[in-house]
Amino acid sequence: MKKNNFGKPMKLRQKLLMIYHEDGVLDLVVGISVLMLAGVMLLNLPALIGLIGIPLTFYIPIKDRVTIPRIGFIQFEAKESTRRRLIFLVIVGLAAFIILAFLGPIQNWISSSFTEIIRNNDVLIFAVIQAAILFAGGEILNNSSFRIYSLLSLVLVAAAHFIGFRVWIPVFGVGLTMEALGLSKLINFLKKSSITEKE
Amino acid sequence: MAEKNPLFEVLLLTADIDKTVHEPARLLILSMLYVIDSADFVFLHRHSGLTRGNFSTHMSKLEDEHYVKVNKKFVDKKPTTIYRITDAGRSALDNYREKMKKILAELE
Repeated sequence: MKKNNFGKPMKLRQKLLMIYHEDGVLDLVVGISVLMLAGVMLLNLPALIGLIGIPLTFYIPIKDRVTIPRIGFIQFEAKESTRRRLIFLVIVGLAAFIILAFLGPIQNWISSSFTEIIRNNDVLIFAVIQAAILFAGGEILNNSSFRIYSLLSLVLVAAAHFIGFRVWIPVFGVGLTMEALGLSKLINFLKKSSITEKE
Repeated sequence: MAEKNPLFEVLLLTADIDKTVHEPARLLILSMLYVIDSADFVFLHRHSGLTRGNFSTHMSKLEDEHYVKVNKKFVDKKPTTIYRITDAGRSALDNYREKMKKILAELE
């Protein structure tokens, strides 16, 4: 009997979700966003942070062209519900990163002790936020690989805080991992699933 | 006074089982539709393990019983059939599950 990441027998809906996400498209698309975030950090251009949401707009068109012709169409919940969740996730994610990116200019308005706590732990705070967003994204979009990316992100970015290397490096590492796993899933999926017969 | 058959209640339960839902192929299809919003012919057929003709026959039966709603449309100029379970279909599966639990509880 197939088991989920928590060792419990998988229910039917989870099995169907596994089938739906075995193409790796979500991993690839979000991985590109994470790599772009690493680029923004490396180049120190917080004004470009809004651009990291752009790859997500390609998720549905890629699914339509790559996945649906091979396994058919399945919708897990009403379209409006999915759209609302996706928009919510993108807004929350961008808001979190924008707040962090622009915290510097507004620190005069905040108490100095609070500012110091933020400044001394900004990498850890970022680690928690990124991990939380990846985990929440996985839960909302029903993809269990994202729990692993969330944990990896938390560990690597926290390591940057304690060991002292620049934070864009572990973010880049997480993005690269997502791309590698996503690509591997996609290749296996394409090998296994040919374009299906018409009705 | 005639003695009541000790199996009377179990007999009632088994006689009352919804045979439309009870058929294994239809039970699988209805179960898949129960846990999602909708799916098309290709997805359900591919993951049901049935031949195309067999699958179509079962879907027609489910549609006749109003357990499944069918929506035919064209997507990129290709005919697409989308299936969605109805409220009646959900109730039928829920009732079936309750009856089976009672019957199987007799085995304990």
